Amino acid sequence: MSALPLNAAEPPAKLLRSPKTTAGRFIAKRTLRSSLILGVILSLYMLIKASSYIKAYPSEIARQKLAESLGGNVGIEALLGVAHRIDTVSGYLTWNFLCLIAATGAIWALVVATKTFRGEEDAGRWELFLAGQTTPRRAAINAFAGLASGLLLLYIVIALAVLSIGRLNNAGFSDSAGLFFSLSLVAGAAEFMAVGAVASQLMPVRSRAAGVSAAVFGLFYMVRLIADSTTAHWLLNFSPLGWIERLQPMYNARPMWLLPIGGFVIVLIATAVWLAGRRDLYEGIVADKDTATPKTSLLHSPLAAVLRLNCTVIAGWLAAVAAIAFLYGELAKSAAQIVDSASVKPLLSRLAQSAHTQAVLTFLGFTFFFVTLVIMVYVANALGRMRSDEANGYLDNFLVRPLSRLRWLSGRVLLIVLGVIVACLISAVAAWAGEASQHVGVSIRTLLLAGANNIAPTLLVLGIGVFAYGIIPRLTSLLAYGAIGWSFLVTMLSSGLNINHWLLDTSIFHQVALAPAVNANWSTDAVLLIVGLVLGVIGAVRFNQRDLQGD
Amino acid sequence: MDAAIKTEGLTKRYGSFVALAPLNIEVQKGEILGYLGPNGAGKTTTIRSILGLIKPSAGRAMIFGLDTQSNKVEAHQRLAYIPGESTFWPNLTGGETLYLLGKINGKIDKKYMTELIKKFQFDPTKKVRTYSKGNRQKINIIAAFMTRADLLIMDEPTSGLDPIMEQAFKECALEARANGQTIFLSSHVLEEVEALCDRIAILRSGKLVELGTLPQMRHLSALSVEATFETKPPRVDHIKGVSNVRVIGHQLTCQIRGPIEPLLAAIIAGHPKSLLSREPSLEELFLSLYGGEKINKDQPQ
Repeated sequence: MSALPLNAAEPPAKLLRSPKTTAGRFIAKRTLRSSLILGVILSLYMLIKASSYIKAYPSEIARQKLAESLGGNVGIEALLGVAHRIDTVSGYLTWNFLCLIAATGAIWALVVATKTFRGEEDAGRWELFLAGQTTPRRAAINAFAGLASGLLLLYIVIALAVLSIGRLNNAGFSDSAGLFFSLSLVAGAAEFMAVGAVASQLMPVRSRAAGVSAAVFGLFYMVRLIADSTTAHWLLNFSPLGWIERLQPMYNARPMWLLPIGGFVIVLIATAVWLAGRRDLYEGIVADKDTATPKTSLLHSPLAAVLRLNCTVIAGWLAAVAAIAFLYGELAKSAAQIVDSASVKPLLSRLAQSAHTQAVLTFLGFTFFFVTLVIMVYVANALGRMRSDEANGYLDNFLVRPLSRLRWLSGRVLLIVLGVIVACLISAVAAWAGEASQHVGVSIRTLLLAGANNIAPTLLVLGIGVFAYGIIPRLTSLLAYGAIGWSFLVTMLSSGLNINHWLLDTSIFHQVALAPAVNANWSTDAVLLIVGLVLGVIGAVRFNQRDLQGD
Repeated sequence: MDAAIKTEGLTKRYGSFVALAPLNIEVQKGEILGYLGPNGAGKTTTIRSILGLIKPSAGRAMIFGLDTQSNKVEAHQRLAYIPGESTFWPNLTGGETLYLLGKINGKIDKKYMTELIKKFQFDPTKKVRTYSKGNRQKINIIAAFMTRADLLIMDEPTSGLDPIMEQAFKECALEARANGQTIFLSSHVLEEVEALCDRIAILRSGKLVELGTLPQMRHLSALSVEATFETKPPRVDHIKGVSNVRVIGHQLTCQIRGPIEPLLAAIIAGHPKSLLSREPSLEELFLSLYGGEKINKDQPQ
């Protein structure tokens, strides 16, 4: 007997789709959405940045001046890679976007790959696919096909943006060069999608797979950074992110570097598929102890349990914040040399609202801006995990017992608040350690105040997230990340465009003084805190009244 | 004296869909109430409303006189819940999970917990992610019984358990009743409900359709009759109250509601070789209530 349609209105074409590709279609559907959002954000950023460059430096002389002021700066090259021909639109684009977008795409790909290859299994959904007409290896290939469709969409969106830039006045690069450049931009995503897939086969749970993938990314990022900021440029050959830089897509293109990139991706995909067939469901290749003597530390209350269950994740975030702040602090002295240059002045002057601050302090202000962004992403991630606990049924275990919803929620929120405060203070200490190692001479008190200045805007994101959690729980992550993304985008766009002040005011970053470049504005911080608190209280009240909801 | 559970017009609507029509039910202290219904009938909705996990659209539920919306924590101090399936933290061991759940409950009988671990042959040193469905369900069962709560609310508690463990569960439930604990048991295992429950409530499409003891329900239902003949069985379908007539070879089966004499006279006139009559089982009662009912698969539970 043939399978009956579930819905009489279902089009016959759907019924004819092969059941062998179900996993691939499911993964594709989920990946396409996030790749489209990422693609659009990156494209907007590129379009604005490119048009403001063309507008700000219309002549060859102006561009050469810019190249002289930026070229060879160790700090900036560590962050963005070595500058080649930045007196041209294509060179400037490559330098500004290649490392940045490759790294952003890589992080997105790590998250997506571990979610696909391990998260689905942890949630018990992979088992359903494997029970169908497939094998673990075939299902893995299917999943790669689904992920590849997301990657392809990302490439198309980015390529459209790059080709549009190419058609701008004085852009001066061909469509084929634009397409090659776009390929370079998504290469990082392809590489680390494969890394995430292998890590997911090795580790038994998603958090560990994500941790291993992030560590691999961090290692290769550091190798690239050292290669770009020292004379050891040969080190680029040992990092997949370095290979992307070696492509030099817009200047003296070296497409042969696609070979190691392609080889790396193919070998890792083949490895992941092979490993998928060699392990049991819910197990990793790396053996993990199935039994353990019960340890009851930090299991005496729901709050303590959350701390115990998430301590690795929290420690990872704090370490990342400290590393970034230290690195930027260390680069402050050399990077400050170009802060006064015309290219970054528009952005920094808007952020700092002062054009006459010391260059080092301005760079450190920019450092704290970037660190705040990372801490905000930590908050959004923690909110996502909180929502996920409800959607996956973990919360039921607490709330069917004598524990009030408000007590549970306030515990979770308190933990995030503590995380934010610690992260802000750690970032100050780490930035101080970095700049002190270069004898820059900014006091730790100044940097601690700068760190404290970032607590209020971050807690506003928390307030927005709790508000969403109480009212529309399924959109918690989207709204929290959306608030951060929107604020970042508006702030970035404001450096190249004359944005309406009402629109600019919607950016959280716009409300924050760029300490230590300027003095922290504590009264503004207080307002942000109050707004965050009000939103949080409304969210908590609604959470107390609403139904618990699954996915 | 307050009932263990009392609902007054407890209703849950999702938009225009009524998941639970106004429900008025009382579960007395020390009794075991079986709560039956097909998928989508509203059993889990009832339980989640009683537990305060979802907010009723109207009406209220009380546990020992405590409103489960306004006095949730106090009400939960007197109950323990066994869901049909739970998500536990994969990296904690079974023992650690029981410890955490016990700590949130506040008070547990540690000696009894050890007994339960032994009785259910549960290995608390294994990590949760390595447990089978049945073993994960044992965590729920042990975590609930070890509290010695006054009220145990159970939603498909033996889901995933093997027959030996099902028996162990039944023993624990009967022991709980003997200790004066109350049990609200939602189950699909009719034999389990038949063996344990003092009263049975049957739900259909969000509405309570039957509530009573099993004997009370049997009186309301038809009697099953089975007779074997030397030759072709006589016709009985014209007799008043007779239904579900089936003839297979020389065997006749049917059900009779109302006076049995006309049916007996017809059977005797046919010279039966054997005659068997019995009260309907819970399964037959259940099927007679739901026979042919189309159940909407999308109905929230």
